Amino acid sequence: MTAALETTGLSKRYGRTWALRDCTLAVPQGRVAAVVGPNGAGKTTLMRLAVGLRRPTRGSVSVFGRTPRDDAASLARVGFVAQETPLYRDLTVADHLEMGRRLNGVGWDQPSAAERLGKLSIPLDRRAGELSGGQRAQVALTIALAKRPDLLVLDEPVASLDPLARRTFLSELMGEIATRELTVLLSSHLIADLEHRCDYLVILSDARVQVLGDVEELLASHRALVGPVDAPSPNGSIVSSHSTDRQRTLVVRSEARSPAPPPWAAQPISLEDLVLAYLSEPGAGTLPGPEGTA
Amino acid sequence: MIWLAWRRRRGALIATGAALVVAAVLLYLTGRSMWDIFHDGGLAACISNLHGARWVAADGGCQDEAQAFAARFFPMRLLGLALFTFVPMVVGMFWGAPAIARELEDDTVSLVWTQGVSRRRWAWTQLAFVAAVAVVTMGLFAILATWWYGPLNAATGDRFQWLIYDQQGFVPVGYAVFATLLAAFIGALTGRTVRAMAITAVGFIVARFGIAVFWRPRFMAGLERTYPVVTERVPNRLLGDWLYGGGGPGVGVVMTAGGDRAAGGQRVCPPLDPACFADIGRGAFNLELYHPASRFWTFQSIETGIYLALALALGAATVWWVRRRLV
Repeated sequence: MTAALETTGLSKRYGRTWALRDCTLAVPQGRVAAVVGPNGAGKTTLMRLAVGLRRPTRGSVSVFGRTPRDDAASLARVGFVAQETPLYRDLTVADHLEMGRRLNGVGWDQPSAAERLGKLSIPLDRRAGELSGGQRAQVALTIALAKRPDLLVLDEPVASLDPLARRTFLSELMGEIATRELTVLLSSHLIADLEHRCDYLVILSDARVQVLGDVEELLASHRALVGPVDAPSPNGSIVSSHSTDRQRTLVVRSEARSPAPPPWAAQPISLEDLVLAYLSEPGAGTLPGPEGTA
Repeated sequence: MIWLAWRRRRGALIATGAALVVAAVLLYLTGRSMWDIFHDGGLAACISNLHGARWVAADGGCQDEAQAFAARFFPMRLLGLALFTFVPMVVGMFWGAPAIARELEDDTVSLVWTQGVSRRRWAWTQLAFVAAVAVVTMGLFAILATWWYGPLNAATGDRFQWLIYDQQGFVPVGYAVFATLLAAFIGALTGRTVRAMAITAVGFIVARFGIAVFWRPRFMAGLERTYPVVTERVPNRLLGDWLYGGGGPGVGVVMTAGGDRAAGGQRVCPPLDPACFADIGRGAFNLELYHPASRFWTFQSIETGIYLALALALGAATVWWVRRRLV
């Protein structure tokens, strides 16, 4: 099966700065993929390349096997919500739906879009410039969903929302995803937003892909080891290490479910701890492929 | 796509329409009084009695009446020159500059470029829409201005002259379309509306000056005419020929009998006044390089064509930039 999104050596440079370097990844269809990383790691660049808004400096990107840039046929299969969820300030919500209907033709699902906005009690005659941040994000998501996309790309859709609006937006989004055959690429720098919501993980750090893979497999192959501060380091690859006065906590990658070497005690690890462990050690990395590490 | 282009610009269209109505009222009121005085003061009848003669008596040709009329409305003419000259530029700045730059500033391109429509179609629609607005706005204004200038043209014979020619007929429409697409192109390059407006103003003035001063006189080969300094008949200035070379804008040169340049301007001496031509000799003559008034519309067509071709090239460059280079 063709991957929903596939990139090969994808790189983007602005002036003398690389925003993304040698990014090779494939997001299988039907996954909810989280793209995480600190600000400036290249998340927005990756997402904009994926929807053809940017042009690769090197490498290639394909969506369902086609190059997305300026390709109306493949863009018809993609729903995109940009950071800051831009809308036309002077147009009403209804105008935006009309725009979507006129620009997308037969694929456009006008009734469900109107129904969705009605359920969220967003007034159709309100100008986009007068909407709250949460409402704007919902309108932008509604436009993206009304295209009945096969790939939904959301670039920090909740970054500007307060915590309550953020949770509402994300659970609403997950509800929508559950009812459709849909691949989702969702970026955030708040890992807590993504926990229990995504099943595929891409960690970007300093313009490079640091970790890539299935969330369950990643959680199964990593664990935390807690031991005395002066304990000798165990065998296996250590992702990160944190010490307090008395104890030391390691995040290690160990493929087998072997017992922890004494004096270490093993603990399962949460997605957030896993992500933070990698983000705190930009040198560590886990990528699929023959060599396993990079 | 056109629907979106229209819907987004309703406010701007209403504002432009309102400005046009105000301009129309002012032009109508001032133009009406000029036309009334032109007819009632007898200048119209006097000019009509010349029957378009190419030569008139040195002391005749309605010159006194025409000069009185021109002097009376001199402030009006200055006002027209000062204001009308910049109308195409302003149309271009306000309609062309935001056409693409505003969407880049607000990042609404990331919304519209990810719908099921190609960038090429999107860009051409934006450009065609603002160009159409420029044509209609400037076309209506130019019709009014052409009517407004009627009596002044007749009283001064200046219709073909620099800056006056530029405000009548259809050449202002060419300027406005050019200014609009120049602004749209610079807006696409810079992604900044205000910067695009400023650069457009500079670029427009440079292009207008260069083409008007260095190219326009060469659209066709000029004609030459001579007549003696000591004469009783002179060319009919009110016909509206364009004297473009010699002693400065709108005048010829005075040559000695030997063919040397004696002075700029025009010298006309009655035969019985030797003191008048003592310094240059009896055989001195006036030399004028000119385009006849009948070429007015030919020149307008050529110049409008040049500006429309430039505008089309800028449009193509903008679309290319949007598709190939932009972000």
